[in-house]
Amino acid sequence: MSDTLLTVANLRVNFGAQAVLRELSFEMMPGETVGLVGESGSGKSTLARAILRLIPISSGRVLFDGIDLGAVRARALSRCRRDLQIIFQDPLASLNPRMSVAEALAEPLRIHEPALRAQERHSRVAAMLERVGLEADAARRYPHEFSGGQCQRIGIARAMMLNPRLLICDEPVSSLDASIQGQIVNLLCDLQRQLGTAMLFISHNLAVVRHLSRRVLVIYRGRLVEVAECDALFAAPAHPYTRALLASVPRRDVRPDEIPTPAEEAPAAPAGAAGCAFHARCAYARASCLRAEPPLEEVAAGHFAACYRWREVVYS
Amino acid sequence: MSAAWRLRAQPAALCALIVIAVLLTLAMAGPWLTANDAESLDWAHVAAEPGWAGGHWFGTDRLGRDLFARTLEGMRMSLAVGLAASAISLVVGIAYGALAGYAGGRTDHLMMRFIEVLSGLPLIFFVIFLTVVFGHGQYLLFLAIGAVGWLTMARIVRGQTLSIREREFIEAAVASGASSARIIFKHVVPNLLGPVIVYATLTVPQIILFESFLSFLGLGVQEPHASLGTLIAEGAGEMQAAPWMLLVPGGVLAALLLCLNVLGDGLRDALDVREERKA
Amino acid sequence: MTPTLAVDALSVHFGGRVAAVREASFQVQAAECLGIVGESGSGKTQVCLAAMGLLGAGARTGGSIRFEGEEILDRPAATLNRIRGSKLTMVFQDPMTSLTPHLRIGTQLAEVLVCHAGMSWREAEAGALRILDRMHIPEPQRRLRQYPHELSGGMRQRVMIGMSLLCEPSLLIADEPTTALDVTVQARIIDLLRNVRQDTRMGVVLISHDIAVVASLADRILVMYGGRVVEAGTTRTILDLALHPYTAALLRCVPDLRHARVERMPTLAGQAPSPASEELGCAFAPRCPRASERCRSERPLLSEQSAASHQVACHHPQSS
Repeated sequence: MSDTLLTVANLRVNFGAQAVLRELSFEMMPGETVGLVGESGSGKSTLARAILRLIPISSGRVLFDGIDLGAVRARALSRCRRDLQIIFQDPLASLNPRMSVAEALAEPLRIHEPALRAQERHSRVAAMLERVGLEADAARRYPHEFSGGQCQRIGIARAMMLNPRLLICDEPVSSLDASIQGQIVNLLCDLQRQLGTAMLFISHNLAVVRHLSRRVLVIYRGRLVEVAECDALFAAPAHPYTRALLASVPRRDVRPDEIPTPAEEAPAAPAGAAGCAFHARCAYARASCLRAEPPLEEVAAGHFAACYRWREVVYS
Repeated sequence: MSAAWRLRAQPAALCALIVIAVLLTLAMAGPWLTANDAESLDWAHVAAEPGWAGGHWFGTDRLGRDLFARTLEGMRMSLAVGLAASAISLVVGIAYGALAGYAGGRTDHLMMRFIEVLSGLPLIFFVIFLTVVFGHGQYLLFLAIGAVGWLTMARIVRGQTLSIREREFIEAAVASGASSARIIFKHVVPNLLGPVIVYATLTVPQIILFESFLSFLGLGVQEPHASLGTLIAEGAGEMQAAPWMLLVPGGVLAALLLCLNVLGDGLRDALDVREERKA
Repeated sequence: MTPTLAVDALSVHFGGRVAAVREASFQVQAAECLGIVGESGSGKTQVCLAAMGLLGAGARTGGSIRFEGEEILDRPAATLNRIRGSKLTMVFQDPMTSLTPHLRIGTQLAEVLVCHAGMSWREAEAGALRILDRMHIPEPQRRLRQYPHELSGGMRQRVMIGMSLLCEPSLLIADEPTTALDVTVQARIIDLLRNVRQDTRMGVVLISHDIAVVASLADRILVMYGGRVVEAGTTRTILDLALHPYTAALLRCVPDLRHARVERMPTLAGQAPSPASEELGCAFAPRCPRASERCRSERPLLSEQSAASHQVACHHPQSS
């Protein structure tokens, strides 16, 4: 479709001999929020960086607004970066400690709109600070003077300065207290509603992803194992890994012994091992699962799962 | 900067700063402080002891020149060389090191090998070579010493750059579309200034010492100008007969070096705390 | 019955202005798990560092901490070293920085046994192997020879927990043990701690900013805010009948995936007070929906409510 905002096609990223992302494909439409869920080591952060061209791609393509980010020159890439922004997991680390908040927020303007006068820059910075819920005098201060939640607001403000069309959120609330996470999630929701920004929200926490996403992608060991509309995924997960993720979220009322937990992280499968990567930890696994990597199958309208035994998973 | 504030809490560094400031003021104000100038020969008081005679507070040298005035001039010269050469090595070293560290890969490799080759060359011969080719000159001295001093600075800056480059805010800057030049000068360099300033403060004494050494050998500052090194060289020769000729410039040099080192240490402590302190 | 840990009116100050902990009092009985919940800056970690004698330089303390009847607050290192690491142990939040990076896992584990239990190195290595097994770490023989950076986060945390169990402690303090881990790994670690508790009569103090994590393991819960204890009670009581508005807000932030999706994620507005700020009245008043004038001027004291051993410090406690 010509108005697809982001197309990731057969993306493969290797770190040396290790395949971190394997044949990953998905699309995003303008204004859409897509959640990407996976655990540490699944490759979700690598995906974010690969899309932004912060790390090199081994094969496959990333098309942003029709432009192949892998083939484009530095200057054009810089222009694309206007519309493609990211916020990071550690909000304090992503801010230059020697730059005041005002300078940090003004930088995107200096880079992409150099003709802007100081006065206008100033007012746009002030407007953005207000939009993200920070006081005006925060502009003068330095990152280390703020709490984690506030630093994240600064990071969001910086990313939104040029009104990007796609915002990639790499675990933006994982390092924040549980009681503060909602503030940032709600802020992102608000910004999305006001500005129509598409978001790729990456997290290992399904509960958080749920609030923002229309669609959810589940990634395991560099592959997509489930893709579905948010409500469908939570109502009836079709992949054993998704089920295990859902079950791991601690609830206040469930007695501890009732929670089924996945087996401990298995050692990394030797490169070239055939079959499903989740096999070693799967409650539904059979010998037949080792034949070949299961492809994404449609289990319902718009709902895909990469599992041979998805019927058992859904109907059990 | 909050670091300056914190420096106030370090009494040793503060004392050192004050002493340096005093010495600096004396050096600058030199010509106005005493009726005697550094060059005129006072035949009435040749090799005179320190005292009030003829206004020669520190005595005179073999040629009857006022030691106080000469010491002040020597201090001026040594400080000028120290600061100028430090500045040169700072600017060149930062630019070179930051570029090498940020570029990485083969560029970095080549740039570092070049530095290693240069480091292997004996300093003295290099300075002698420059002196022979370009003749003696004050500014040449600055250049020669600075040209040699930037090597270690570049190494330090490169090392710092390598670790800063991995930090997340650099990634954020790249993601914003910042050019490499912008990243190096607006993001990397400001964050490595801490250790670099400290190192620079500690190289000034090294450079002054080196200049003194050169002058002692006759390669540096030439007559009739004086640097602390030349004064010490002269004084060493007269140690038995006129010990004040050695003690005065020697004492001033020692005091200067001590204070610069103490100041450097204090600066390092003051600047480090800032990084550690978190909410 | 002497409580394993008895904290009485503990105060921790830094440099006069920063009050990290203000008059906190609580007890941990033998074999009991006490959960301490609070946001960053609530003082929950400082309480435990005080117990372990690990407070930073410049900390001034008040009150008392008794471990099995013996006073341990501000005692010299020699006295503390008899109990630290053997009878009173601690697991920290980031296992990567609490394990020595250049020593093998086996060496670090064996070292504990050699120092505290007086074993020989050979016996100690056997002990290390046993504990890795008990922690359900796969391929324990191989792990003994590995370095910390070769293990995953969850694995490292298991090693830390194992290390703290080597000498069969009376009390294990776990400071945000799962915060740096994924939810699946978190669930396994909580499971592990639960099993360990069942096997031994060890007391546990579990600290977290996530009340759901604490509730899944603790028998009693302590809620801290602004350096003070604002609510204390059994887990059941607190979950069913949280009286302090802060506790109630924390509980509202726990996601419930079974319910229909809500548009706004529940959260607590504003931010926790900094330990350097002055205390005027109730520290929670600026963020409290039930705050009155009295709350802003008069600090509420911790008092017992109708339910046994349920205490709350609030002028207007919730009633369900």
